[in-house]
Amino acid sequence: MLVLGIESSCDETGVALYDLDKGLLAHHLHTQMALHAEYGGVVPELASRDHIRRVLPLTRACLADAGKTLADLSAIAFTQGPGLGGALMVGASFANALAFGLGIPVIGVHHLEGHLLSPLLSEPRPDFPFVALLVSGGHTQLMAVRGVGDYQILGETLDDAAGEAFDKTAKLLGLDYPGGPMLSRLAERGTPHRFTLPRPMLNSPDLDMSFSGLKTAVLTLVRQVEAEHGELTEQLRCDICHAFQEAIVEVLVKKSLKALKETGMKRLVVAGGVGANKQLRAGLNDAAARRRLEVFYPPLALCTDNGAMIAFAGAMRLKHAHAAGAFTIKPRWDLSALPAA
Amino acid sequence: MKLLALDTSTDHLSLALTLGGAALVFHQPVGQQHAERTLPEIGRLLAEAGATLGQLDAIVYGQGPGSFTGLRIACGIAQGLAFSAGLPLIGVPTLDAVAAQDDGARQLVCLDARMNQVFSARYEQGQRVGDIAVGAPEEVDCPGEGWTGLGSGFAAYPDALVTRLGQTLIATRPELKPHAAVYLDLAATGRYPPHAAESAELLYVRNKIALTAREQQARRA
Ligand SMILES: Nc1ncnc2c1ncn2[C@@H]1O[C@H](COP(=O)(O)OP(=O)(O)OP(=O)(O)O)[C@@H](O)[C@H]1O
Repeated sequence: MLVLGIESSCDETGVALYDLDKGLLAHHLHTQMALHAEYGGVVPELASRDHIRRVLPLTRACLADAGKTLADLSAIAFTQGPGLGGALMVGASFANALAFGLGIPVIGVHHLEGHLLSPLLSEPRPDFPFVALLVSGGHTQLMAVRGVGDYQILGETLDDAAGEAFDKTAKLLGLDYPGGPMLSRLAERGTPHRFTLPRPMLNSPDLDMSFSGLKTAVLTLVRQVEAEHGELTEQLRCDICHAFQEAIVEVLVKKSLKALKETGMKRLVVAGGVGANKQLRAGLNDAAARRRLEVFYPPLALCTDNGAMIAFAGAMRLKHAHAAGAFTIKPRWDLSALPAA
Repeated sequence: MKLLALDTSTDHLSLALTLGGAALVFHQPVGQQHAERTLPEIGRLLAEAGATLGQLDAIVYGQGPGSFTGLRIACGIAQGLAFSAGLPLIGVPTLDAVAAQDDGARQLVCLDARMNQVFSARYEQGQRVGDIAVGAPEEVDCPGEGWTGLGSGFAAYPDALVTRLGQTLIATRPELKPHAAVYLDLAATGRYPPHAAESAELLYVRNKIALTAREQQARRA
């Protein structure tokens, strides 16, 4: 069974081929980062315009890489939501028409389910059940995952997502969009304990989080430092990045451990763009090693949006595939509304 | 030629299929239901004609301008279908398909572009004169006389177009919109070259979409 997966929910066009027996055969990605950089954020209309130019060439490239033809496909999975309406519509139109033309079924995939299951694309593959920490530009959630489609939200951010906090703080420090990865590179050169930032909700009794106060704290700190030193030198900037990253990582690690403890589960699965953060990985690995817990990550290349996770989630839901024809998109779509696979 | 044409750039879903003879047509208002309706209706046309995609010579799509999302639905569907059957695509501008519905000597086509603007172009003897423009209806320029005004712009901005242009216009047909059967005729003329499915290029015409970070800053200053 060979599934073509198509992702176009935001600013990345991703296409991949997943074979139920042989695993991931090919995946191609086009990121629009450079396109949106000069606007300081994703411009939805420009994102859609780019998706429609990329999706077919990327599909061809995947087939060529895998040495497969359209006739080999069993089904097509596409990101049905959540995401930008116009962007989702591009992938949905192409995917459904291609399936309709080929006479094969389609599967509408929930973008977050894609992220959530992406660690199952690496070796060793985690078994169910596990706690998932989903940390991306749009989401920060802890979930109990007992099987495909069995997701219970344990806690989440009450305001900004962790990736959003990284990006907004980076912008405030004068780094180019999207500044998250850059911020974390600068943090590596920062002096530990030079500054300390608050850890919002670190000790709250629940598993919820809050990150918007952190960027305000950074702003205040920057003003203080500028008043004291006359200017924000490169080293001071690195020191602030270090303090910021340390605060966010501590909150994510502590809440993840709390979720594991409360559910009695032994496995933690990390997904989403911030899962690429080295400090976060080090913090989680370290804490897990001391408690005999296991932590799983998606392959580094599959942390951010991609087609592979959509092809894979589609393959896990082949039972839900239906004949191509009328289609819809779901720009807002609650993950807990998904049926079990 | 054996062709399937589709346009989803307005509140209508417009489809037409020909295997050489008379066209089978679906042309109806569908509101925002283009994604739900297009493929099933294409399926019905093919079934009615007893045809498969593989028998076609090409798929014709409304290239724009028009509703941005609508344009991409038609283009994405055309690309998916064309790719599945190894067919080329033919893009035809929406305004060309409106102008071709009138047989007078001179046409001024103005389609409502929202935001108090119109997409406009002039046609003489069945040929477009100059590029398709986007701008305020007050600024649509139409020299000489004997023009017929076509398209939704004349209904949306009667003062700025009908009243202002006055004697320049001999008639207006504000109800005309792109029609898939007309795309079939235009594609059959050979004036619109077929191209590989991945080379589809939409005509958005409105290309300034957002302010750059620098422009936002300048505006705040
Ligand atoms: N090394 C890193 N350290 C910190 N943040 C990072 C790192 N790499 C990526 N990010 C952040 O990850 C986010 C992008 O991740 P991803 O593509 O998964 O999310 P998204 O598409 O923005 O949101 P969603 O998938 O929830 O809709 C950005 O906010 C980016 O700054």
